[in-house]
Amino acid sequence: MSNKQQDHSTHSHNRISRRLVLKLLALAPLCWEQTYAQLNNPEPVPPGVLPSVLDVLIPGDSTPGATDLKIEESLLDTASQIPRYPELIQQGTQWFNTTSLRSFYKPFPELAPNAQIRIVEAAFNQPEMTLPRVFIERIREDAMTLYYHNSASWTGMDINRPIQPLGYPDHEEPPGKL
Amino acid sequence: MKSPLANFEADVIIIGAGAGGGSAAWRLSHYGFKVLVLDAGPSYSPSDYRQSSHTWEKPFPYKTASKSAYEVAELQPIHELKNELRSWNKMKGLLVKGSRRANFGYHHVRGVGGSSLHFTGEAHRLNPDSMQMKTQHGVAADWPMGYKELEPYYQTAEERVGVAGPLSDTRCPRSAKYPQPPHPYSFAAKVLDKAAIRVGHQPQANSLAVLSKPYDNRPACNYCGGCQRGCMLTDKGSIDVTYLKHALASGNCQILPETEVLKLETHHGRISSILASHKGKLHKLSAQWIILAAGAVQTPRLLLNSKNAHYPHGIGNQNGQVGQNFMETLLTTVSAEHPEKLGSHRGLPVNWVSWKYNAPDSIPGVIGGCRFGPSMSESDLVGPVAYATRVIPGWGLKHKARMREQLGKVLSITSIGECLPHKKSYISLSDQLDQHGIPVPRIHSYLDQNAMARLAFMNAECRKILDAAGCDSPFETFSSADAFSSTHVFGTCRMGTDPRQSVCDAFGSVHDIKNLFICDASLFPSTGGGESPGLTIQALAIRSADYIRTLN
Ligand SMILES: Cc1cc2nc3c(=O)[nH]c(=O)nc-3n(C[C@H](O)[C@H](O)[C@H](O)COP(=O)(O)OP(=O)(O)OC[C@H]3O[C@@H](n4cnc5c(N)ncnc54)[C@H](O)[C@@H]3O)c2cc1C
Ligand code: SF4
Repeated sequence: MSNKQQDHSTHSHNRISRRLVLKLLALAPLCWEQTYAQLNNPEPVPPGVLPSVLDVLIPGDSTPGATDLKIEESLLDTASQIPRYPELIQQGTQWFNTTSLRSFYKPFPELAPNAQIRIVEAAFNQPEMTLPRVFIERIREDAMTLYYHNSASWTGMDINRPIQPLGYPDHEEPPGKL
Repeated sequence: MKSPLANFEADVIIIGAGAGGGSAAWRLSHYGFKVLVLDAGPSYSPSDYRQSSHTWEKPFPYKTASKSAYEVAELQPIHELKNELRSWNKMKGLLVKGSRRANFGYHHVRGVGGSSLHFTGEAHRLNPDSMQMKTQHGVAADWPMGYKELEPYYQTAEERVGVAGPLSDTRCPRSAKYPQPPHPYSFAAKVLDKAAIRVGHQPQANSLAVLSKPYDNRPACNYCGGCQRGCMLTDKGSIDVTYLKHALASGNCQILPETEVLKLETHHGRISSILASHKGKLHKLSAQWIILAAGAVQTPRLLLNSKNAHYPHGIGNQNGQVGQNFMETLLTTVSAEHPEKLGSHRGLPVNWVSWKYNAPDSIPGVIGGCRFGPSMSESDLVGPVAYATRVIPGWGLKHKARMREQLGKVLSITSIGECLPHKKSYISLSDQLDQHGIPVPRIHSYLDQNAMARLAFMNAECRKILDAAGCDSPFETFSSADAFSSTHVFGTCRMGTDPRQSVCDAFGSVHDIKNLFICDASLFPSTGGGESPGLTIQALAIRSADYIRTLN
């Protein structure tokens, strides 16, 4: 038996550098256990859930937050090209909203920041392969990737421009002279 | 015969515009041969690379047709593998979740320039001691020529490309100094250099196909570290901006991108024609000499797929040697955070190299050597996306603050080691067909106990260096022990003196076919102790070209 399928998924999807595998979750076939019966009959999710979750993951401070950089749009665009990803987003955001209604009697976007943070923490703490855990880890990975591809996110870091055309003429020196 | 594709009658057709094909094309076209180079992949120009865009951290910009189809056969079980040999990341856990070695890919580019388009630019000569592995150590096979015979061709290749190397290099005897002075070390590479010395290594400036001074109308490097994403500046000595540029300038060479050779046809012990697909049409082409330089995976595939009544097992395969002896990249990389900001995202990918354990008998208790070097850029740990997704766990405001604090603190060490042939490592034809209805290659890879022991040594040594540099405990390890992930592939049409054990002679001439030469890494009887193969492929191809000239 060959592992054609695995070959295909790792080969064409994972971002692999010369000698290192990079994006480990990225674009691997998505699967999760559906632990919430109601998700089998998906209800419409209020539109603000995904951006609110993204803003908890990447809030604004001296640099923009996720929604300031329209990460939601780019994420949905990425997701539309990956089998089952839109479904994961639909069900994942529904989990967030349902949990929010059950615990705090309000839709997720209307919660105070601390309550939102508690639900995000809860999602990260679920067992592996459950819907909330797969959802939150996957969107963390992709949102961070999309966010840090945007130069507006680089303010305050030791990297503040693309690597060319200037390169790093100061590479021999301690950092901080850029 | 005048080719319907080229505007001249070719004396030589070269299949593959990578390291081997490009250097043969240059040499032969300068001798006055009319050379037609066919490559299955597209052309690239500096403007194709994204280094000046905000998304510069994205990987090499593959185009349609710049990856070839292949399959990897089921890999070996790993349940007995010790934890320290596993690939893992502190944010993601084990990188290989299943119970077998996983396939992370045969990394290559199909295109004019081949895999050199995204190579790192290391330009190594092979340790002379690694060329007699059978005689000296009873493993692999001997090279059918000695280092001395290859030396002038190494020198020619280094001059063509503009290799920058150390002022004194005693590992491999040299007839002249490197054409370019060595590159200065980056600040982070200096930290690692000191650490390596502390644990007994003797690092030296790496020899690199990267310009330290302007040369051949190409500028000097500005140390952006993005070599694997394709070099916008053209100071990296990829095959397109070195050999092929000069081959074209000779007026004797034509390159046809996106032209895939599907089959070789024979008549009276010669290649009479080749069947190529270009823009959806099939063409038959012929020339006096055919050079096959499609790389160590596609070259055996083409020979096996070209079987006919006279060569029922494939061309050059009367002794069943085509596709055997597949050797891969044996590698381990360990990464850790340093307490101080080092700006480690800056500078060349592999500034220095330690050859201390490069000789085949230098690792205690294991045959086959290895080498060590810094690898932040090769590990792709040089930008905010990598830090956010691999280095710094968490989310929210704290995560953002940590991103600002930590960027530039990661250090990595990579070791690449000798890979010896094994009967379970080979290339065969798959049941899977490509878009032309032709079987794709199937890669079989197996690492034995000797390879695992070498990897264990390499891994421990990498950790030692990081520890001596004052790093925290590692956050990531990548290891061939549980993942097939190969950038260097070799050995599948081995050269040798005995046709029963080899496919080609010492000049790459296929034993039973008078006008067919192989000029790529398929020829290697052994891999060396972690040397990057590009320069040796070039030296061998230039030597084959000189030989063809004498036959003419
Ligand atoms: C990320 C990365 C980093 C690397 N870094 C280094 C380094 O620092 N130093 C070093 O020495 N090596 C390095 N290598 C390895 C090096 O690039 C290869 O060993 C070398 O390029 C192999 O040369 P080749 O001529 O054998 O094959 P290739 O470079 O693979 O060239 C083969 C060419 O043949 C073409 N081809 C294949 N089949 C057909 C067909 N049927 N018809 C027409 N054309 C065909 C392909 O399109 C390709 O362009 C690296 C490789 C990778 C992937
Ligand atoms: S580090 Fe130098 S060789 Fe590499 S891509 Fe940048 S400019 Fe080119």
